Amino acid sequence: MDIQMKRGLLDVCVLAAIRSAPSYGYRIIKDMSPFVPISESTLYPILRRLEAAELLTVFTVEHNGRLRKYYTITEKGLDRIESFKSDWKEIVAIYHFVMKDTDKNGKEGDVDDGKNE
Amino acid sequence: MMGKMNKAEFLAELRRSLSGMQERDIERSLDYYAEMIDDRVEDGVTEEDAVAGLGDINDCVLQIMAETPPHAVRTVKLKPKRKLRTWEIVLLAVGSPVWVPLALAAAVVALACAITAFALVLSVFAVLYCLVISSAAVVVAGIIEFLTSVAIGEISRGLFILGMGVTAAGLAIISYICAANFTVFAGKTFMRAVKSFKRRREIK
Repeated sequence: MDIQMKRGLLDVCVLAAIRSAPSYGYRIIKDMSPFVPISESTLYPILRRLEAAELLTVFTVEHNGRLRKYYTITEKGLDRIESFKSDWKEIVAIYHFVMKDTDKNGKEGDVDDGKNE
Repeated sequence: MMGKMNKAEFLAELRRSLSGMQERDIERSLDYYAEMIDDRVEDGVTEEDAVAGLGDINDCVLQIMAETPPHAVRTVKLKPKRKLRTWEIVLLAVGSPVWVPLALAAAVVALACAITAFALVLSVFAVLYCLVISSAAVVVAGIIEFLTSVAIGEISRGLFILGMGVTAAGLAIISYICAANFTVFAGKTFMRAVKSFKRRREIK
């Protein structure tokens, strides 16, 4: 996937992973893995970026005699998820436009998703 | 790629690779990876497998570098916020009989200056407003005196007093304008001073 696009999507995914309750790094990865596999090394810059943009805040909890960082979504973070939802409609429209074109040329026929909006 | 590493080896290797970065950023990423390894181990993996599961260490380094904003490095260099070293604390403690009274004296002098400035402003106010009030009083007195003088037939004396009254009226108007302008000026200056003080504290 295009790196810029993936970056933005992963940001939203991580925010979604902490939307209902604060979570920590390893759990975010585990919660995401059935939908979006992500590695520790990929998650690190995302968390830093989201923290710098004040989309999430960090607090530390002692766990088994060591420290664990928990990430809490902010109001701004929730806004980002909302704006993703409205962006998505636009993306779906673009997808349909692109697929319509390829259909006409008869190169690709598998328009299998993106229609359930 | 190296062979199987344990947690300590991995973190040491990571620190070596990041050595050009700010210490704060290095610590933060080491904490992150330490937590990740510990969480994997807690999930039932051996330490070596947990480290191996993190993937290529070079990839970890690249990802850390990618999100370290260059401006952060510059800001930190501009404002070195370091902790006091032990000998500095000792020196401060030993020197306290000297610098504490000096600092106190400086504070008192500063306070005295502030009070003096305030008193000066206040006295200017007092002079200007006294002028306004007293001139107004002379105007009123002049009119009354003129009327009584005319009533008893001493017209020349009455005219003289009326002239004084008119002069006083002019003085009253001028001093009133001065007082009003000075009030506005002093108020604005004070507000500006408060604002700039506030801003400086915010930047701090």
